Amino acid sequence: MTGTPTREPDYHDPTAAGAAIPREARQYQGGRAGLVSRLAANTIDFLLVVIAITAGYLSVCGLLFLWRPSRFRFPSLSSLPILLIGGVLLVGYLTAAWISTGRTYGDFLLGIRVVDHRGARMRFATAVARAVFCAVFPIGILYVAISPMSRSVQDLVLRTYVIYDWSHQPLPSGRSNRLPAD
Amino acid sequence: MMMQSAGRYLVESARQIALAMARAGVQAALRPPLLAERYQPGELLDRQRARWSRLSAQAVQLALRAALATLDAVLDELDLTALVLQRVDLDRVVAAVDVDAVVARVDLYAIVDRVPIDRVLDRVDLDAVARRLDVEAVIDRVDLNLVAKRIDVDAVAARLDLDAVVARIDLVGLASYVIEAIDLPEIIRASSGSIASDAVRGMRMQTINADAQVNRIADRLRPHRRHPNGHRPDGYPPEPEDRAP
Repeated sequence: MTGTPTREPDYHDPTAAGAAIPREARQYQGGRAGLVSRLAANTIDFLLVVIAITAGYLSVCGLLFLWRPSRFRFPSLSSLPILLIGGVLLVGYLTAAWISTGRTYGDFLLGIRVVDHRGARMRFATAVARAVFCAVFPIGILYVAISPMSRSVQDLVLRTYVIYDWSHQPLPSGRSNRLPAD
Repeated sequence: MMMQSAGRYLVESARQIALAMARAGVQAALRPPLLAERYQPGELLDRQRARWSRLSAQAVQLALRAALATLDAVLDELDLTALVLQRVDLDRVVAAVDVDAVVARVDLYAIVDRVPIDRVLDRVDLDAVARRLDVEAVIDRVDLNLVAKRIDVDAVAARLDLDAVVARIDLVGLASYVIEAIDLPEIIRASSGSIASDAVRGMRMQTINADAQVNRIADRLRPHRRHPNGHRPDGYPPEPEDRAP
């Protein structure tokens, strides 16, 4: 665990991947993302899921109203179904984002990306496991603050990393030099 | 002396008197007063003199005619051109001619007006003339900048039928070629991304700085380990205070 993340050479090449990255941010590309960035990204993702659940709830209400307007009442849901639906939605959203682009919308806004120990896009099983882990044990992210390598509990268990990556290039599925294993 | 002068006076007077008497005698002999005028000898002499004058004029005319006829016959027999070429030094003659003066007296405009230019041009092989032209040398001698300054570009542009030009251009094909050449979708994507990131960029940089602050605080709270190459163990570049010697 003493390895140092190597800066991606393309980030500093104005003619290649680093062309759209501001000069002041290029030195951070490939570095481990810190607690604030990751918390902000996770908050945005969580809000997205909340918005999605709310939108789904309102859609169901609309359908019910259209179906029987005279007997319409807002359906009441207990906390368990909401948690289950939210969890499933969150896990599905995180998994789809990580195996496709390596970043959720919150990650995109904050300019970070989740990669596996090879610096490449996560495999499906790893992504599902990490999503479930994040949904069940969200406070594991706080370990980033005290981790020497800025890794959360999920990162330690599943050998993943969250790095600064402002580039728009897709993440390779195989081994990449974007982040060496430590 | 006086005697000699008196003698000469007397001789001169005698001569004058003699001449006057002779003149009167001749006058009286030629025109006797008592004789009819037509029978007077003077009148006869006058008529005879006029007759001789007419006869001499006729003789002269006859002689001239005979001479001209003879000259024509002689000239017909002679080859004057050959004789001139043989006998005359034409070079000396030409050298003696003031050609400038001759040219100055020539009305060139009148000559040019009489030249049938169209017929001349019809007989000229302009292609052959053009082939013999050293166009490069001509161009070298032309001050193209000066020519360009004298061109009224606005007037030329006003005469252009731009609609016809545009109609002949495959604008769709050209646009497709340009879009393909400059990778317009990528530019739009990058520019729109950069525009959107203008707002996001500040947030990203602020969170990066916040991450660094959090990590600095964490570094102070835990046992410190510095990587040999100056990078911190968490992968960040050295902070300004870390870079200080």
